Amino acid sequence: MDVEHRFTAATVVAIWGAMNLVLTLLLIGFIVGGFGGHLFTAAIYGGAVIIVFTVAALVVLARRRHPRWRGLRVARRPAAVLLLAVGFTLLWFGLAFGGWVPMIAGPVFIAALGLEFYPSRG
Amino acid sequence: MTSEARLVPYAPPAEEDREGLSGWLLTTDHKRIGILTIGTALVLFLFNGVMALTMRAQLAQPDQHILSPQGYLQFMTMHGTGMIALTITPLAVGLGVYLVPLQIGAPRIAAPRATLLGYWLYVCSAITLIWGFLTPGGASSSWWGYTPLSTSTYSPGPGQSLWTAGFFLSATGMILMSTTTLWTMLRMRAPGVSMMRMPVFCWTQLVTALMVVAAFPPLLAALAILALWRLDPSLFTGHIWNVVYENLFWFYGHPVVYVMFFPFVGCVAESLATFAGRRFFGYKGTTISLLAFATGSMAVWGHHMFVTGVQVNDYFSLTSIMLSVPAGIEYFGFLGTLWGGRHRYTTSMLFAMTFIPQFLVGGLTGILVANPAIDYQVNNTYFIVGHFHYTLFAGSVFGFFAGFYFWFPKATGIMLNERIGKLHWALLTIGANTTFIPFFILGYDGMPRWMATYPAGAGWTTLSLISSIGAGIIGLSFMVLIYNVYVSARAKVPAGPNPWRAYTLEWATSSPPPRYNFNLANPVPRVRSYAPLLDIWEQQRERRREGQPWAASEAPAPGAPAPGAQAAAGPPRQSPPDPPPSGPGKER
Repeated sequence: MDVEHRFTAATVVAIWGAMNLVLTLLLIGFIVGGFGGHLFTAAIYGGAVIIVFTVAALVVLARRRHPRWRGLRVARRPAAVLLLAVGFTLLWFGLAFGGWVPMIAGPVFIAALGLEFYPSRG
Repeated sequence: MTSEARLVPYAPPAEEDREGLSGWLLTTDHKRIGILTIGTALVLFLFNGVMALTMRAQLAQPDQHILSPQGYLQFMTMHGTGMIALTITPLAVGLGVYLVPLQIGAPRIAAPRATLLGYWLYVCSAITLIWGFLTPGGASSSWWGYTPLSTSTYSPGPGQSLWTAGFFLSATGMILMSTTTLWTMLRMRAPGVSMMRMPVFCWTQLVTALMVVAAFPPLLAALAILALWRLDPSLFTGHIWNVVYENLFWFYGHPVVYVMFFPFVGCVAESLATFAGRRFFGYKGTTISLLAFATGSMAVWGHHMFVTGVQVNDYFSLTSIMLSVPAGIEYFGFLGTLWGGRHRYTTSMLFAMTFIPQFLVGGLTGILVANPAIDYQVNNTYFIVGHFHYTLFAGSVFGFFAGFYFWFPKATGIMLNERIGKLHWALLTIGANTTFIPFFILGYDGMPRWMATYPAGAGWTTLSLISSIGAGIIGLSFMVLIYNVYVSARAKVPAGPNPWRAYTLEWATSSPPPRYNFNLANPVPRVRSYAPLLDIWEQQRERRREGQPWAASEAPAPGAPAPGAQAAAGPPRQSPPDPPPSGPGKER
């Protein structure tokens, strides 16, 4: 297998995660070595590295489950998406205008759910 | 074309998007979502640009009071947040949403409804942030919203809360859009499109999406902390929480600079290769350097906190200066592509070529301030403002316009007027440099940022006036751009599938592309490298040299230029292109 084919999607993501892991370990080394800073900064970076490796693992799992991508599925009921966005925004408006605003988000989420499941009932 | 083309292995479903406005607003077509995102970002660009012009009007002369000191801080906060969260990041992500599936031969984006949700969250974030800005007592604690200034104790009222909410919504939307773009690249490439056959633009989008997925969640955490802090200040007592917030914020705040940079590197790379008439030079080196560049840019956030005294300055100085190595490799790729090419100086090419030296100014001044000893001196001065405006405006925005003029014909099916485009480029180049070069000198002279006005005797008047005149020229250039779009939309010069004779897959399909990108009339060509159309043309030319007859079905290379496109793009040239004088166009 040549280099081009060895450089798979999961490998690329994992390589990027590994490069970040090296820099995280280097940061820990600097902190432990007394150059200043605090270990929680390394923890933030470490958390990001975990996310990257999770993406690589998901690619491997998805590839094992579906070795070949299986064609098109038509996305239905995109209006539910718009309602979700509005509901999510209303939740956040509670921070500015008080607890009564997120309560409006409830019916919006219910409407989004209804729209989502409407086709299966119909 | 049967031997050169590989038909898509799926039958496009019969169901199409609805027509009319709802067909656009509730679309699951990645092209429409991409156009909506870019269009929304450009409108917000104008909004944020007007704020910049207002601030420059205030600073054109000493002791001016067009804006009150508090109003100036609100304008500055909205300008910074708006440009980063509502304009340049969405432009970068939106380009990926539009182009990535086309460039890898995919019929759609992965999880299109999640992409649409990302767009609508972005729209809601824009409404929320602007609402917060218009509210009396709007957010004024800068685009980073440092605590404790941004807490309810020091910034009471709904303005800062709406800023927090809007920023959170924007970041969530960008994460969703980038995740779907990333998954499309990782799982939905057409047969033959291996990772090492993806165009350079896709690689820039890949590292961008990886950075969004890894670096944006800490921003969500920071904003969640700020939200809780605003609800109940007693939850977060002690100085440590300010440092936690700063670290979480800048863990997003520096990578986002590269999120706003890499995709435009991709635009420049595609434009340079096409208009230099050759493959992108040093493809493998560039892809690996992109991975290294993105890694390094994840590890430099602490240089924004050099002066706090609680950061590992040695480490962050080292990693920041190290970034010059992969950046140098990319520049080597740019220059190698230009070297020996047969250049066509289209508007896109001019923007791409201008990007190179201008971003270099931003990058080199970045290396200067990566040294803590220098950073201590120029921190919070206009030197820093000059540095990041050279990266984000003179760099990224020029890269964006290289891509805008390059792909506009693909997205709309019509050509932009090249003469007006070149006027736009000239004005923007003059305006950007006139505005931002004085910043370095002002900063060196000690002019602090965030200053609503300054006294007449400070010695900053002349340079501030020059900078404000430059800002006016930038504003004028955007009027020219709007006029160009208007004139071109009326003229409707047809673009044809490949008006520039470009090499990547999106140019093998019609302009604008069909609903599922490729179909029986526009199949995915066989992909043997990152420049598949150039491969086909080279093969045709080889056969012609050897005197072999073409099979009738093979004769037309995908995307022959339309007659109308030649009139708009310049003098006609042969198609397929002749090899550059230095060789057959293979990667060296």
